[in-house]
Order: sequence, then structure tokens, then C-alpha cells
Amino acid sequence: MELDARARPPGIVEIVQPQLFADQDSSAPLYARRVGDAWLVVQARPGFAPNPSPDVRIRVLDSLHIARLDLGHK
Amino acid sequence: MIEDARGRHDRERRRILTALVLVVAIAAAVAFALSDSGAATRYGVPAPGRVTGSLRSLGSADYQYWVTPTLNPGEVSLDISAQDAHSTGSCVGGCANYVGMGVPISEIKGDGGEGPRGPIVRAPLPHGADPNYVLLFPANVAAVRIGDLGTVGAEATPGLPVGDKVVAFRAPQNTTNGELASAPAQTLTTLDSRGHAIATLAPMTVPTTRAWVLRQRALYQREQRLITTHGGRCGVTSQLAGLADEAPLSVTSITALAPTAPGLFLSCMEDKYAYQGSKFNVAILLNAHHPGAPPPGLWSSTPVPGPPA
Repeated sequence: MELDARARPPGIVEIVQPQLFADQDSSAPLYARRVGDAWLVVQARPGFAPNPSPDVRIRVLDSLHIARLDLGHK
Repeated sequence: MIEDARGRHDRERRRILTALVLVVAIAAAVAFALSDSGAATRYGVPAPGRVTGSLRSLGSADYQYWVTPTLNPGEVSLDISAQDAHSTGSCVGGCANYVGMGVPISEIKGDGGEGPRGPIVRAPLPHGADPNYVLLFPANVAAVRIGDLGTVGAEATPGLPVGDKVVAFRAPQNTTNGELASAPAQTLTTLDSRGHAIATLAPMTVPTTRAWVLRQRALYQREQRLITTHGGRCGVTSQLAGLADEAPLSVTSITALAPTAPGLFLSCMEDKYAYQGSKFNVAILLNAHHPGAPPPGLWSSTPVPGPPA
């Protein structure tokens, strides 16, 4: 199931990889979104098939929540 | 009367002598500053992307790269992938440093190997070796002298941490085959915009002394103690059906980067997830110098189209 582009959650940025490694492009792109004072980042692991579509990567990122961020100095 | 006149004459002579000495001293100081033997030696600074001497230019169309923050927990470094007509390479897991005054050079691609102070540039190279070098320098570097082979103008290009520049060039090659390791290692001199040397980096090979090996092992063991698969300082959750956390990894403590050390992002966790047969790395990046403060923007990122926030 692919998401409609208009249904993509706001606030997500992507870093698009140039056309490196035409035969193994599974590492591009990298998606991130700001959560408080941190960036939450999702990257497909290179070399593992199937290569997920951008919408699948965005779906994974959008589903994630920071459960623990203990800076340890407060 | 005569004594007064003599006194006036002596004072006048002393004033003239003092003025003459001052003029000579200033002229000598100016001459020293302008001479090549002085501390303020000035070199020519080519325009960004241009080269001099026996080096050849390498345009941005001749190579591609992808530079992102590393996701490895506890690390403040970069992952780099690069390719050109000669070779492709990818280094993931914190392979290069953010460049700054203390770490003035990092490598995107090059065949010269790695020394304790950074990449080694070898030239002339034997026939068959990849002659293309792409190096990363901080914003205050306007050009880099490659030994006596020539100088390369540093160029700001997209896709790098803000302010960083690339120095890209093609090294001269011999017509004969030979060992790459025996090609001469060149001294690199970084220059500011006026052509003054900022730093000189003499090539150093990795020492193989027992003390060095023990130190590296201790550093590695210390790094291993700072990460854990059980809990740690950072963690994420998800309610997405079918998403499975296969390998959580987080830091046991979050330590701010020293103010003088270069770096933008500190990763505090990297979990490996599986979803619909695909594998993902999930990470949390913090402000490296001030964890808990707003992090810098991610360079080269663009908003994904979606409904208004």
C-alpha cells in the first residue's frame, strides 16, 4: 500500500543521495524529523532487499516516538 | 650665548639621528615582512576549483559523493559514499571526522591510505592507481598546497556540512607500474585567502609500536563500554504493525563534545528494525556540543511534500 503524497505527515525532511551505485541504490534517501531537541532519523540499510519505497520509509519514521532520552545531567 | 647655540645644535642633531634610525627600522621591518624568508610567506591562491603546477583539475561533474552524519551511537562523525569513473566506495559507521581547526582534513576519496593525522596524499602515482583525490577542509581554508606539485583552490559545494569545502584534484601519474605504497607521500599546507599558511601536515604513517596498538585497543574497549543493547540513555517505540526491533543499541552516557572539537551531531542510539522484509536503521541525533539544546539543521535536506504543519 502506497501513501498518497498529500497524506504524507508534515515536518519530515529528506536528504537525497545522488545517483551513486546505480546497481545498489538501497541506501537512498535518508528521512528525518525533528522531535523536541533531537532529530529522529530513518535510513534503509544498504544491501538488504527489498529496497523500501520512500512512502514505506516515511511510514516507519512517522510511526516512531522517542520513549527515552535521558541526558543524565538534570 | 655660544653655549646655548651649541646646545641647540646638538639637540637638533640628535632629533635628526633619531628620525633616521626610526625610518631605517621601519623600512627594515617592511622589507622583512614582504620577503620570502620572513614568517609571513605568501603563496598564490588559485580560484575555487582551479589548480596549478602538475596537478589537474577535477570538476564537480567528475565525481559524486554523499555525506551524512553517522548514526553509530556515541559517535560524532560522518558517513561518506563516493564514486567517479575509476572507483566507488562507501564508508558507513563513522569513517571521517567533521573538519575544523583541530581536525583540518578529512577524505571523501583518495588512494593514498590513512595516517594518524588524516588521509595521506601520494603522488606521482603508479600507472593504474586511481589518481583522483577529493578532500574535505574547514571554511577558513582557501587553498591547499600539495607538496611542491601545485596548489588547489578550495571550493564550497552542496552536500557538505555547512561551511566545509572540498579540494578536488587529479594527481600526476607515472607511465610505469609500481607499488602504490611506495609513491611519495606529500606534505599538505593549508592556506588562508591571503596565501598565508594556516597549517602544515607532514605525512605520517600509522605507527606499529606495541604502545600504539595497546592505546588503540584501550580506546576501542572504552567505546564498547559506552554502548549497550539493554536500555541505555535513548530509545524509541512504535505501534506500527509488523515493525520489529531486531537490534537496539544505545549509549550508556551522553557526553557533550568539547567546545573546541569540530562536530554537529551526536548519535545517542541506533536500532535496527525490520518491516515488510526491508531493514532500517533508526537513530536519534543530538546537538553534539550541547545535548538537549536545539540541534543544527541537517545539511542538504529538503522538506517532504505533505499537508501544512
